[in-house]
Amino acid sequence: MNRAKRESIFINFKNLNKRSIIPTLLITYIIMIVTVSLINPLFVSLESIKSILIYLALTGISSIGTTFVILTGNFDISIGSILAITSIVVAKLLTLETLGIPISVVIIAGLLVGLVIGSINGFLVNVVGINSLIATLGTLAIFRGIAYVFSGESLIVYDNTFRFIGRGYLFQHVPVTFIYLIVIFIFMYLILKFTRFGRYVYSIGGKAFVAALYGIKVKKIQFLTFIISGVTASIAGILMTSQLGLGRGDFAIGWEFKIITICVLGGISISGGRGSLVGVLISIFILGSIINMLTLADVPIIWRDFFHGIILILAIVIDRIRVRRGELSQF
Amino acid sequence: MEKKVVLEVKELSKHFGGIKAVDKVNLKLFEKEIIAIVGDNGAGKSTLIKTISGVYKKDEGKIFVSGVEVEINDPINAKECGIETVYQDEGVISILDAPANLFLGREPLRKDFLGRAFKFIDYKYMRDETIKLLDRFGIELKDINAELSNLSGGQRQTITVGRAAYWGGRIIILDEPTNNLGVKQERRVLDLIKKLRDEYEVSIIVISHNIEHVFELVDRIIVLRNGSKVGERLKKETSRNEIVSMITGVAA
Repeated sequence: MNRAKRESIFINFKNLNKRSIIPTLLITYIIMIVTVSLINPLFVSLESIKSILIYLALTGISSIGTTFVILTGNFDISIGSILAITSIVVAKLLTLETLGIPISVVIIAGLLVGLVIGSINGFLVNVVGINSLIATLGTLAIFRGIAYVFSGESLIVYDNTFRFIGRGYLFQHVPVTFIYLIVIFIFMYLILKFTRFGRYVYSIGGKAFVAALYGIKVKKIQFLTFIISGVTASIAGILMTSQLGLGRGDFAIGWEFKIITICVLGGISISGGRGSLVGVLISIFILGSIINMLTLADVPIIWRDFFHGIILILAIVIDRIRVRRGELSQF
Repeated sequence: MEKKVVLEVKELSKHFGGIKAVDKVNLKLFEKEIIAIVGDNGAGKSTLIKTISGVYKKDEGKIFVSGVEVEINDPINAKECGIETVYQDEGVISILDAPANLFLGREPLRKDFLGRAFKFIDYKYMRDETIKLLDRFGIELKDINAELSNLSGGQRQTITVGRAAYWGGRIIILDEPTNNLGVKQERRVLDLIKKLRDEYEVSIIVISHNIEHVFELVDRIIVLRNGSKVGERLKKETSRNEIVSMITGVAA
């Protein structure tokens, strides 16, 4: 009896190690913050924290949506293009002053862009049957191209109400975009954790064949994940247009790379099925803070990609090790 | 004493191109009976059960469940007819836990406000039912929410087989249930299959390479060779030698 109990503690501990990356992430983040703020107290100043929150909110919102796609074992790398084209559409509608389109309609139109391109991705992957990486590589190029054609020069947005959407502060210091991030996070977390749809996303990533055998509509669920990813990219696009007061065809170039880094670092396995949104949220904070640290340390912006790349590779190596450990323990 | 026929397959054929993987096979399964389908590699065992369970679409023949002809076009049809199949290695999603696997595709919703308004899943009910079911088969998991990849092969097999029974399958097809298992775990799974028949009163078709296990478990043995049925014997009227010679086609 005693022995069985000892064993059970041991096994639980092992499971925790393998299943959950969250404690590790949290500890890493805390150590990081404490060390950096000891070196440079500016890092924890109000202004610095504000700029971190503003910076991480948009990539954060987008990565929460893309997490669904990666959990099914697919990729969506067209997010940057969806964001750019949303910004063009929104800015165009707002600059057609003669029409005087209400802001609510403009926002809905922006969200529709994500819905439509997400559906195109979903169609290519699930109906035509193209590998998701290739399909979204195609839409990435197509919609980036269209965005460039229609933007010409950048489109400047003068509407003050619209500009407030992405720039306002709550209680004077909390950026509204950060509030959106938290609201979207809670909503998506509940869906992923407590609904059948969420369970099926994990099941498909685990073994799509078995999921189908048990009556799960694999294609329909995968289709929906691409729509979610598209719509969250559009939300980020609307907010970016509002923050910068601009619609541009070259917005969010290379975002696919940032977003995948966030997801993988947050413990979302690139082979699908493993990971949670809590990990992604912590990872959003970690990456957002790292960028801010680099800025404070006067590291030129051109080095950011270098650090992103290193983090991505490290995160993928950790992911591989975890997956392999999982496979080994099957026998 | 006339026993009820729960499953009858008449003249069932399945071709792949010019190859007759299953050629005009007839078989009957009585209630509370365990039968084995044996044969060499490529004899058509797997194709036969995959055709019955809807993974492949049959080319010719008829399938009757409890005397009524049924059309089985996909695995969901088969489940609706009460035919549950447990495939080797493919039965579970090993990164999910036992409750998630037991209720895969049939997750119960909470009965309170959260369930009605937001369609939240009732995890507690799933856990309780899983513990009850595993308890019945003599398995106690140290952590009910552990990924199945952390369990032994025997425990995983119990969950797959238990799931088939839990969902009220009247006919359970087991594809190589003792493959890849240790000796002790083999024993457990064999006992589990017998228990399934006795307690849940289901009829079982077992596919196995292992003649010892077949002789221990089943009432009747059906031998396939090159896609055709070459013989059928009651266990008490045959011997291991006879079955082996039927499988290989070499006279004993």
